[in-house]
Amino acid sequence: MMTHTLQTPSDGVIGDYVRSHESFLKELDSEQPSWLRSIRSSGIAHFSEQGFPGTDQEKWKYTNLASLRKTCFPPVAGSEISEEQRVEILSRIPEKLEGERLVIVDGVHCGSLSERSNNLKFQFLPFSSMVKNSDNRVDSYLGRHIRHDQNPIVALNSAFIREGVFLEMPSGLQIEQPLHIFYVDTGKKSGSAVHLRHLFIAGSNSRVEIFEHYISLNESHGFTNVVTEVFVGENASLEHIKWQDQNRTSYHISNLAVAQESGSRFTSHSISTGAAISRNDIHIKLVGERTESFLYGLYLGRGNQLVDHHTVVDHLKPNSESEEIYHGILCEKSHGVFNGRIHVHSEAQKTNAKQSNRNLLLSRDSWIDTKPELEIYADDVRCTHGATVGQMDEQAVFYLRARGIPEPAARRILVGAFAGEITQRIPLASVRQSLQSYLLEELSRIPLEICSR
Amino acid sequence: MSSETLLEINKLKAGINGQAILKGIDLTVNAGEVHAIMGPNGSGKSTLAQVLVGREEYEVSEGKVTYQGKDLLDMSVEDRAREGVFLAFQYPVEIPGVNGTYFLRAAYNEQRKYRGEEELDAVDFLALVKEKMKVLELPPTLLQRPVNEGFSGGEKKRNEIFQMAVLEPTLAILDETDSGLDIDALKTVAEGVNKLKNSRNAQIVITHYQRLLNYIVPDFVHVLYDGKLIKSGGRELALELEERGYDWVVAEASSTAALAS
Amino acid sequence: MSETTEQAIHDAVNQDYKYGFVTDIDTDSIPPGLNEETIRTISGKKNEPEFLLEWRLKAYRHWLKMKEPTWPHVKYNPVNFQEIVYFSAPKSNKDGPKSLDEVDPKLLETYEKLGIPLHERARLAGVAVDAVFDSVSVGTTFKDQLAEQGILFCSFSEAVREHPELIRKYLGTVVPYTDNFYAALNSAVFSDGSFCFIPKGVRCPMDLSTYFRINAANTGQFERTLIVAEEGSSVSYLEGCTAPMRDENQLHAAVVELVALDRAEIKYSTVQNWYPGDEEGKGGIYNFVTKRGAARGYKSKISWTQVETGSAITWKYPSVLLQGDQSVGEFYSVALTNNYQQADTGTKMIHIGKDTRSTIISKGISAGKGQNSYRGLVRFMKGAENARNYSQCDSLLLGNKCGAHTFPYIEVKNPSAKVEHEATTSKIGEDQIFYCNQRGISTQDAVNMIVNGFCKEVFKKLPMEFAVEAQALLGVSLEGSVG
Repeated sequence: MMTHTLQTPSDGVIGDYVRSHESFLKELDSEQPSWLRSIRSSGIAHFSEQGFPGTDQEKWKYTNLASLRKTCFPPVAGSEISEEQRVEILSRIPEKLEGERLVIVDGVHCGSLSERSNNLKFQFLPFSSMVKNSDNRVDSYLGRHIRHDQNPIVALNSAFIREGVFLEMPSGLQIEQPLHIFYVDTGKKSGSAVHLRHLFIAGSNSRVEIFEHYISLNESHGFTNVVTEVFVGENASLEHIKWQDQNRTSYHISNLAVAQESGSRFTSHSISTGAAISRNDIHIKLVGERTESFLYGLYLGRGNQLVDHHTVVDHLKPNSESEEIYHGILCEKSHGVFNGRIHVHSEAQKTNAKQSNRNLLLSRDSWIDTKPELEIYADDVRCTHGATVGQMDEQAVFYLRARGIPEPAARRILVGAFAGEITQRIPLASVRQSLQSYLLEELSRIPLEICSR
Repeated sequence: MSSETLLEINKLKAGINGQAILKGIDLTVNAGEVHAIMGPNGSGKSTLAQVLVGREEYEVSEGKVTYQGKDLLDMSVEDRAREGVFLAFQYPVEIPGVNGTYFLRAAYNEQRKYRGEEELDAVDFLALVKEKMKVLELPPTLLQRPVNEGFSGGEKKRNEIFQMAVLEPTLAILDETDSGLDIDALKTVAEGVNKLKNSRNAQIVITHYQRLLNYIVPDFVHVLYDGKLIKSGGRELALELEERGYDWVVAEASSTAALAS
Repeated sequence: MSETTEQAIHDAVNQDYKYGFVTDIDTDSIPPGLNEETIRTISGKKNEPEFLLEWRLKAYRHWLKMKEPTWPHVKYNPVNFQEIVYFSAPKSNKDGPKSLDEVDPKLLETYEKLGIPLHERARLAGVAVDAVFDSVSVGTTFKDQLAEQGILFCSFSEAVREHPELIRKYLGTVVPYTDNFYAALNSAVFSDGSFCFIPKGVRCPMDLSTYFRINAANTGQFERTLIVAEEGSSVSYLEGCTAPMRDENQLHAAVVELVALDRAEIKYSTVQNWYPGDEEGKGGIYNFVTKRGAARGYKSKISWTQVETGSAITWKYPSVLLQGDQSVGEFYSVALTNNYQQADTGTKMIHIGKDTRSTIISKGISAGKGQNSYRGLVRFMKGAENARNYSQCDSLLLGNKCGAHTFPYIEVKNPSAKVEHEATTSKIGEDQIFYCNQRGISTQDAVNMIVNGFCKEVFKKLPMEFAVEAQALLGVSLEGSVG
């Protein structure tokens, strides 16, 4: 039994979080099973001990959370939505995206917006309803691959754990239609936080595609903290598409931890276009042999946005393959951060790992910090990585102009193509199209400066 | 034509990882001869080449190979090479950073040392190389580059033949030298091979298609199928195979086998 | 990997350490331990001017406040700084040898054995040598000939005595004592080293070289090298180092500062062969070194080439501050770690000026239980208009108990920058060995050839005499100049 006695709440923001946690617990008391209570209290204990990470920590060297650290963001507990908002929310769903859908509004599942069929052969449920129904399956998976004693932001998520999505695919079940998780921040309670916790379990030989989409309805100032744990069983295939497009005054921090069993395949598409500061940690552990992992990412920075991706692929067993391709487009005064690490453990012979990070700097004031790392302890491996920082190919711009395309359009086409190398890999046509038209529109709005001579 | 026997393969059986591939090969190659070994994919052509040069992954379970009166299978890979057995690889491997001329001089001098001859210094070797390059019409830049690194498919094959020209093997085995070559490159390679032919050496040309044999004219053509040489003939056999495919030879062979049993 | 290949690799990388002998010579050493008194003693022994003592003390006080860095990818037992002897010099007549003729014959013999004859008759042609033995310089060759062209090449101590104004002007301007833990320690206790000054417009007619030898037990070596190349001048500088085989670890914490003014060029080459410890990882040198060059002038160029085969632990990042417009920085490195050796090495290229260019070629070879890390920083400051960097970091793994790691940091604050970074990790392929075998080349020669080929881009950058030594160290034969 894990119990933590809290010391007297400290001063400052951490103290505010501790007090906010106390009132959060009081409010919840009736719906708190003991296992959940212990996760919540150990979460706040670890968070109050460690606080937010500072730039003195290697992992946070380039991402300064000073502004997030300034005030406490208390948890928000759902909102009523107006008819107007309902229409807007529905309009943001990619056209022709069919299938099961769970919509979470301001941290709470919204049944009236979700699409759910009866008699599903798999479990696709809001976390809250499972707790309400004393369904304790969550307990056996939660925190197995991501530990909050080493990550204060995950600890904070555990402290305020309340809503999220639970997916369990039984062995052998392969579904064609994607599952859609739609998170909406209405901005009704500015200065508040939402801590979502997702658990995806793909049984052996199962196959599923998940699309997670994060949006805001207005320019409020919120903090979204998502922790996702994914278990991919033997020979199973799970494709995860995440598009984070929250407003550019909010914070978005996400931790995705994946464990892959033998013969499994996991694909991550991480698209970041929103938030003032966004940080995505993806950690893949290849616990089985003969696994395949693909990590694709695209980040678009505008205004003063800071977009940070940190990925780790842990090759623990032999004969596995991983491929990672991240493209960054940085405009105006935005700042991109990429850190990709391939770690090949001594047992993981015959590993084949590739990583590439390319960046376009499209304004005088944009900047990038990138760090592609290899850590290799096995000899029979093929590992490569590459990183580039540069500008548009002026030869190509000229070529297009020589064919009669006006210069601004030529530049948009080329940047679009650079983004397209990532977006075209998204298997869901509806999402791909919606993302591509979004990018096209955004790029037509931003001045694309010529930064090279 | 001289009739000195260079190579004699007797009932050779070999395989890899416990799987039998060569199931009893008999073949005699005399000096001055060109033998073509043809056959469909998976018949064992490349295995035969690999076994002859001594690839250790292949296990020889039965049979004997005599080369110039010596037991070939008893020799190490290097010694077979030093004795004049040369394989033009189907997929020549890249060796980054190792200068082509340097590599070749090392190989050349190994042979000379083996024969108790004096090694050639860099200057004399360069003169030799330049002369051989003229014969093969190779661009001089080829040898300043590291061995096979960044070479096109055609360049790799030409480099193999160039090495053959310098090392002057007694027995050259050309493994699918035509694969991946366009017709012009094929002609150049074949011309090179023909120029190297004389009455004291022999060539075994392994190929899937007959088109190479338009340029390298064989004295004998053998069909390898399922680990055995099922038919032998002159040059006309290759043309017939081109026209009619392999099925008829296979059918003919199995009916002969049926009759025999 | 087949047994023959394994054996061939083992033979190629496991050579006996040829420089492990000890010279039996009377020394003048101070007791172990470090405090302000130690520093005053060292400074006093050298009759240093007041400003230098002050500087040392400031560095020492700063060092006391610093912590040993833990971020390198290396593991070792903590160094007890109170157990180290900070000054040890061969005994000699009071004022030190006036010329090489007065140098103790035992010392001359030592350098002879190391292949660095100092006597006029046997001197290496075309290379001027400053020989540093433990804490002091025992002699410098070709000094007078160089002086004719205005080139100053002497021990650091002599430079302090003869040219204090130059020392005062440049010391600590590239690596301030606040820079890092070991640089601060070095600034406090450094005993000797080399000083080179190439005046305006002079192309140094020969290679300048310093040979560092640790001899005494329990001593640390803290040398300081300063090279200043004035406008339009150029110099090629070589550095070599060896130490006896001992079971205890010994600390070597050097600082090297280079300054290149307008259109000046400094080429700095190192073959580092400190005692690496035995096959069980016992003993060996801790090589914690700060090397940095300031390419201050317009079109100035600083080029680092290093072959690192020795030391139990190596921690060094020869760096270039590209301050002048159109300045150039280069880093070429081969690092071999075998047995229990660990190396965390790389470079920093800090682009400050416009149109600056840098190139990084790093080749890491890991064998035995060695751990080899490349750590590099490429930074483009806001004003580094139109700057370029190309980095290539390759690792070759020889065996399955070693490790190869790459940690490149790329920070770009100027959008006109172009950066390309590539890294690969590979091993010697059985098919490569077979190909060589089929051409009559033995497995041992094939392994040597492949390792040599892997390092070639870096070897090409070494001055001839060093290239020979480097290739010999790696057990690889010298390629003919054909082709």
